[in-house]
Amino acid sequence: MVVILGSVLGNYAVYILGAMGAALFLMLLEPILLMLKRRSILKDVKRFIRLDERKNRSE
Amino acid sequence: MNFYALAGKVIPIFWFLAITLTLLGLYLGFFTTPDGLSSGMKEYYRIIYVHVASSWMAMWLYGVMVFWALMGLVFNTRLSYMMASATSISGTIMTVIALISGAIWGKTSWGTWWDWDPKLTTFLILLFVYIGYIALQSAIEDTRRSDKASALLALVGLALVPIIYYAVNCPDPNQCASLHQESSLQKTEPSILIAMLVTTLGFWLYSFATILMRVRNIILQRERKTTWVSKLKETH
Repeated sequence: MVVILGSVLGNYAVYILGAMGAALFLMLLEPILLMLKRRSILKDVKRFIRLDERKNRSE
Repeated sequence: MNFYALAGKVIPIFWFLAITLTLLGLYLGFFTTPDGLSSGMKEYYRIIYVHVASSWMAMWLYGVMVFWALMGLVFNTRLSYMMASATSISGTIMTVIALISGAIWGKTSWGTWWDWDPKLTTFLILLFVYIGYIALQSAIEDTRRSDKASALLALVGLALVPIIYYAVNCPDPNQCASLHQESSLQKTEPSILIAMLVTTLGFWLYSFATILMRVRNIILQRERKTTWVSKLKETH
């Protein structure tokens, strides 16, 4: 694959793959961070629900 | 079905289409377009597939963000503000990608990473407006106030989009002398244009998917004390 890309891209392979790589890295990072954020929000929501249930029971 | 559930259902479809179209666009761009030697272009023109797609998306997403901000200001709907907020981060990422890929392209063709010409500078200002929007929203604790203040900032920043467009499509080269070439869509070879459009469509769907993911997060965060959130399957 690297050889094929190298022959297609020629002397500028580092620059072209650098630009593509930077873009794909950011585009992969974004959904990963979003999923982690979602997990942390859900954890927070669950904690809140548990606290609420406990409060209702004690009342 | 409410918006939260509907967004959850369409996100995987958008992801599938985004990945397929982006990979297809890059495949077409790398393997079916003319190579540098035969077409008289240097091979680094292939950065165009990422650079143009992300530049278009950066400007387009700004328009989308302003649309939602305006909807929020006019109709006072919370979802509109949430959509505007979710769009701002995707727009920022697209602007950063456009600037990085542009800098790399600049290094190969002009021999410099950056040039303070109108085209590049206005795009950098667009990034600052996006960051300003995000910063303003994070700075005010009351969500209603932060939504309104940042929506106003987005509206003011809208003036930048036609300036960037004019800077790239400047009719008089003496007025805006620049290393950055003019927009030359009509002169682009069809195979290159198709690959570019397919990649752009992939980026478009990617932005849809991430915006919907983010807006679901914002909804969960802001509505966490409501009964409908406590009844969701994922909160048990």
